[in-house]
Amino acid sequence: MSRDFPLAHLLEVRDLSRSFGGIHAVEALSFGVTQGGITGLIGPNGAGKTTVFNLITGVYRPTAGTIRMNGFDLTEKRPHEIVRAGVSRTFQNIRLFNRMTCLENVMVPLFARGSSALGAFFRTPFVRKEEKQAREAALAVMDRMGLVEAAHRPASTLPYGLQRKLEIARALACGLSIQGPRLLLLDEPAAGMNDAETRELGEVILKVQKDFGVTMMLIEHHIDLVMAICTHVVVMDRGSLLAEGPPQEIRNDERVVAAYLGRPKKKRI
Amino acid sequence: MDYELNVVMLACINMIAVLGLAVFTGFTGLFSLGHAAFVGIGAYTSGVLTYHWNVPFFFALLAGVAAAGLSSLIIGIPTLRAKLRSDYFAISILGFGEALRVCLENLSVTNGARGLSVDELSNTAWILGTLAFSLLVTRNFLKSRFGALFVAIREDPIAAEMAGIDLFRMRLLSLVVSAGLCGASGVLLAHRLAFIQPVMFTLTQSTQLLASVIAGGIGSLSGPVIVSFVFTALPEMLRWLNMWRLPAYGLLLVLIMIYRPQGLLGYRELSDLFRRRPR
Ligand SMILES: Nc1ncnc2c1ncn2[C@@H]1O[C@H](COP(=O)(O)OP(=O)(O)OP(=O)(O)O)[C@@H](O)[C@H]1O
Ligand SMILES: [Mg+2]
Repeated sequence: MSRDFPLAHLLEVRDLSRSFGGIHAVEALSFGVTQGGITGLIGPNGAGKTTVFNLITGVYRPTAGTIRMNGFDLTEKRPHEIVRAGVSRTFQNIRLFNRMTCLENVMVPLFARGSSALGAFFRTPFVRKEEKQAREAALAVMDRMGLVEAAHRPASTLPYGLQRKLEIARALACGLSIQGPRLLLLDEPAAGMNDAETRELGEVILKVQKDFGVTMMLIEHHIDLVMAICTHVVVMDRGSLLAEGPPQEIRNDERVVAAYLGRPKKKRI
Repeated sequence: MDYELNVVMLACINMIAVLGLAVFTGFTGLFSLGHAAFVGIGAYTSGVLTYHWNVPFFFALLAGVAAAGLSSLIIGIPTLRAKLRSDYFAISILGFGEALRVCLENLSVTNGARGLSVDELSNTAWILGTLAFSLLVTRNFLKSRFGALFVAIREDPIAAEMAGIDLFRMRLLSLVVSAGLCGASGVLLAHRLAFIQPVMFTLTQSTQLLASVIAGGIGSLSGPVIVSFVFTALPEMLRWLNMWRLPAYGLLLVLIMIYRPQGLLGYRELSDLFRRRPR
């Protein structure tokens, strides 16, 4: 394992660019994510925040730049390899396995690796044991997220707030079998929530961080939530880095205020 | 009696192929217009082995399954790696099926387009035994972690990848398993009819397999299996309709799609109807 950057940065993004046709969704973006903290990623609509997550997780290939996680180069890796390196995420538009139960949703990441197909054909005792272990591990995660009651309901029948939580639980399950630090990327988990729900979600996020010891990145338009729970904030505008620093500094940064106020009809900020 | 038994046996043979396609289309969510090719590979591999070299039927069966499974890698590796959209995949596998037909028609070992006469080796015991074994193994397989991974891929491929699933490997595995089952069906078919011809394994047959899976219900094993039985047996039972036989078959398909767009047993199994699930 080679490390050519300060240990403190779990994730290191350098000169990252991605364009779609003529649109430069992300352009020469560099930032680092400190291990153990919650890094907020904010910016006006269309700034390129989700694209950054898609680049980190291998959904898109960057046109230029590098992404390193804990010393490993993730840049050309495929999504499942990136998950195995300790990165997992949720989606801006919830993506659950709708026809599966909540428990099955959380078990899928635990099932991603395991014994061979031959054992499965004959349902060997080992296969059953493996399933039992996955079920127990998934239930333990769901318990901490307050989802156990919903375990056997199809995911699509959950109310919106619980679907968000379930997605976080599934992302946490990705990290269960992984040694070493894990990074959890949350893309607008509070979207569509009112102030009370948003506050409650903030508490859930802090609890998750404490219970699971994951490092987090959070895209959010609810600026109060970002200010309340983030240890560091990265601000993007039109694909590039606008500002970076501790929350209080960002709140008073003129450029940040201008980027948000300079455009009419923004989402809540 | 002999005639009825024969129809039932052919329906059972067809059920095995439909079972295979149900794994791939119903559970993994990829459409195929070429699975009859794997039936054909099973049929011809075993047919050539028993015809030219008198290989015992059991080994011919194994060889047919293996050949169908392996040949699916030829089409599966390039197309599934490229993450083709499902409809493009269906078309490329159609091309594979047609290419296979041309090969079979022009090889001397297969006796070309004239077809190959083989011995009638698959008796009732072989057919029912293979069907039972296939049903058991497939059910176990889909109940295991692989079933969950396949359904996750069908429900949302991007979320599945972000759950750590190697999309390419799992889709390929699903294809190989489904092709192997189709191969078994082909072996039994060849040695039941005692005669095979390349035209028996073309788009028409692939479409019938797909129709059974969709009419039987996506995400179900029992639905497609029941429907495939009806679809094979029905045209025989409707012989008195003479020329209206095939339109009647088409009408049935249309009626199913109108009144049960999810298919006979979409996302459920026959056993679910007798058992209340905790929901
Ligand atoms: N797959 C794609 N194809 C074409 N353009 C894209 C694609 N993905 C993103 N873009 C464009 O890239 C830009 C950045 O989009 P992105 O979704 O990353 O913004 P965002 O900061 O997440 O915005 P929001 O706050 O609205 O979620 C937008 O102009 C968008 O239209
Ligand atoms: Mg976004």
